[in-house]
Amino acid sequence: MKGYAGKYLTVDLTRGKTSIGRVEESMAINYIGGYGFGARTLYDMLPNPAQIDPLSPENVLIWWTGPLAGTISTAGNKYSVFAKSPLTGIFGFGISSGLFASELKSAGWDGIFFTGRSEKPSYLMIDDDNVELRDASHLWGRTTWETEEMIKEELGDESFTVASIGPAGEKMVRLANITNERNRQVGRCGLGAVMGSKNLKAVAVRGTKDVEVFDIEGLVRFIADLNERCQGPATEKYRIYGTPANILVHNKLGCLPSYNFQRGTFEYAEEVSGEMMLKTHVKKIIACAGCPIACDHVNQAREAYEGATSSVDYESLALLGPNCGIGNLDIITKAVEICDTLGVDTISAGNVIGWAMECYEKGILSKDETDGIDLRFGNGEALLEALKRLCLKEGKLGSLLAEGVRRASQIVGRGSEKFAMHCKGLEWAAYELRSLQTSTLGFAVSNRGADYLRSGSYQVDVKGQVDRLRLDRSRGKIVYDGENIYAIIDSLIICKFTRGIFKSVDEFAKLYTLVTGLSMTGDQIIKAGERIHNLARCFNVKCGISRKDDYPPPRAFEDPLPDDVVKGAVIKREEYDEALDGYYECRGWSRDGIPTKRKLLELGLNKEAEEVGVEA
Amino acid sequence: MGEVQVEFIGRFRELFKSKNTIIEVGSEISLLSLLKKLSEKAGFDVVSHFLGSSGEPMEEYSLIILNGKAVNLRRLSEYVVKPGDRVVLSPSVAGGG
Amino acid sequence: MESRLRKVIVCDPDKCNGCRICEYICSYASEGVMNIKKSRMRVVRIEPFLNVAVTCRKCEDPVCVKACPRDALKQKPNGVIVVDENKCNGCGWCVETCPFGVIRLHLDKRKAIICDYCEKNGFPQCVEYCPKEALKYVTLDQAARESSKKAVKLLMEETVIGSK
Repeated sequence: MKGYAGKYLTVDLTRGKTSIGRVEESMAINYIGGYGFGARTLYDMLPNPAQIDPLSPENVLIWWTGPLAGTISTAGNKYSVFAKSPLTGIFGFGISSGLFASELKSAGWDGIFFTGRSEKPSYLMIDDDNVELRDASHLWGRTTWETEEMIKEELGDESFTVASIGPAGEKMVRLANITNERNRQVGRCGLGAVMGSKNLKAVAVRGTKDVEVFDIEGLVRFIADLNERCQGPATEKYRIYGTPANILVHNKLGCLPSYNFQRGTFEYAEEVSGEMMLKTHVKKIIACAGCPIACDHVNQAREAYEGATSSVDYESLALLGPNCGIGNLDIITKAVEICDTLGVDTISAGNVIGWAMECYEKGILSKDETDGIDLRFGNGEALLEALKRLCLKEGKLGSLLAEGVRRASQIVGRGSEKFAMHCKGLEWAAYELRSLQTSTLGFAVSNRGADYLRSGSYQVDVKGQVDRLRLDRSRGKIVYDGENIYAIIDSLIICKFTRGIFKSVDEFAKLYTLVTGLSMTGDQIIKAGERIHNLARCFNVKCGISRKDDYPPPRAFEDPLPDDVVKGAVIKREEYDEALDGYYECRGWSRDGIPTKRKLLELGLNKEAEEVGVEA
Repeated sequence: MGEVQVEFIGRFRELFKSKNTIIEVGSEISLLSLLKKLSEKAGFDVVSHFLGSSGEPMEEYSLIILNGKAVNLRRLSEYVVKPGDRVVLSPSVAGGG
Repeated sequence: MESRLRKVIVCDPDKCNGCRICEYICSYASEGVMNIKKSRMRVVRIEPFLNVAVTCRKCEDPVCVKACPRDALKQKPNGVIVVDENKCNGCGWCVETCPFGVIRLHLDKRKAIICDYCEKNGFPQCVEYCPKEALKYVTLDQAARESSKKAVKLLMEETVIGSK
């Protein structure tokens, strides 16, 4: 089979030994790559995940790319990382893009498995077949950007691509992420903390081999067509204003999280809009390797924090901005820079600090507990100081925030759990819960916790195709369909910004066959998507997940939105339960949200049917 | 007689060179007619931003918000506006997913 | 061909975003494979904002041709530099002397490779595939003319009476 390198690297960090594993064709056809490979291998390598402490040497850290990486496939250069998450205690995974995935494939590897724990800080160097664990003591404490520069210099070759953790990962901050090429992150689930717990500072890779393609001529022709489509209306929003274009749209719809999700509109939305950002702060729009769209808007701060530079996307902007009451793009640009260099997920950070601000304003957290910081909404200096402490686990505040919003609210108590905005311990992203209800269902059932990237179910809400202020049984199918398609997108791995470009899943199957030579139909590939989703759910069931965990936080049910445009919006419990039932029914799961034996057997997940499946 | 308030977001601000405008309407008119009136005012085909050449809804491209509710572009012809209504012309939502 | 009629590949740094699609397509066009290390086109990304793709400039008095100790490099009338693989021994002196760093040694053959402007494809494929039209295949004269036009439009269009 082509496309795939056909092998993966295993690194036993405890013994400092490496070995090689094969990627079989049956694995390829059934699980595709990326998310699918990650679900399969995480499930297999952690058969008793409930027993595993995610920050212990017993956890595994698995990296996978997909069959498309390293070819000219449209926006197809991505890699994914998996582990039991130290933030959520369940299936942890994230995807990042850039040259790294292309280089890994070109070096001759589909993936890397890290087990155990290195005695001293180390980094892995992959230079085609030559792999070496090198000392990283001199890199420990360095930011992600510094680490990348220093490794390239040390190896004497700028063509190495580096993925690394910052001080936050080293200190095992539960929100820690992994950064490659400065602006790209495996953001969520605290996977950077898993790296830190293994004393693994970075992975540096250089590849010089040809990446084999089955029908290279056919691929190039298909890509020419796809790339042309990518210059059309379906991607305009990404190319011009970027995802920050959402700020004003969401504000108009009353679904822009503000003041820790207390409101859905923000009085300074114009000041932090994508329109304003393009006018005053965007210095350059750059692209990931192989991408014809180019959505990465890189800001440079002006008066205050002059020179602070960071790539600012909607999520970072909304959660460090309106969600914290901040209406200033300089502050937000600086905040994102802090997160990217010290190595923390902007979404989780913005969310937990917003929570802390609400606690402070309500007198639940005292000034002593915030290390003397006046942590009011809208206080930009306080935001930046709180962020730094979070990243470095400094002070009482830093240590508290570094735990993530679920644990922090459990530690603090005093009613703060009611407005800790998460699901399964993963902080809610910048989509309001009460005014985008199909979105909320998608978030709440997602395999890694509160997450829209697994179903994109907000789309029917914002396109007016359903009543976004109500829920009914039919929403389950919308989430189900979205999840299956997105599972494929996340396994190929291709960028979701191309979703308006592909005419049908048959085109995904076509792309797959052009690259790999393995026959695949649209039906087969969607079935694989369903299989992958179920497998990740089985892992979660082993971690104790069931229906009780598939709910949004209390605020969604108890605090009606005050904004004029969506006044009184709230989720009705009975409607939510009905929609959830509808979802489980589509999924072929029990009323308690557990995959049935029959469904798992239908998908060829025989072992899982026995271990996890329930009778219908 | 009355006014429909029209606001613009994103590229529509560039195209109309303004953040908002007002359209006078006698009584109820279809949303499509409103878009046509806007076309006359602005000098370009506004409808083409929402419906493609074969009438297909351009859901990945644009969005209309009518009185705080997202308009389903697949049923654009069914919507009506009346004096006092608020319309927003916007790019579609561009999430990470 | 008179050298002033030669066309070169120029890259607009305002439009180039470092996507490297030119590198992927070049490796296919010149070698028939997917491997950006075999590309003759080179994308330079200098963080945080600068992205430009560079390749052979068809220099008027090419240093690489003069420098080669074995006379393995020759410049054709159309400006393209050809490498005689029988003479080239991979010493890499030309790689060092090219001021743009656009010569390299082939990964497998260890002979000098230089962009040949897609002679067998008929048109530079990098220019064809650049999604942002940052790459153009033009004479230097034309490239300069387009730059002045762009500058004048940017600076004067709104202030000069009678212009759009």
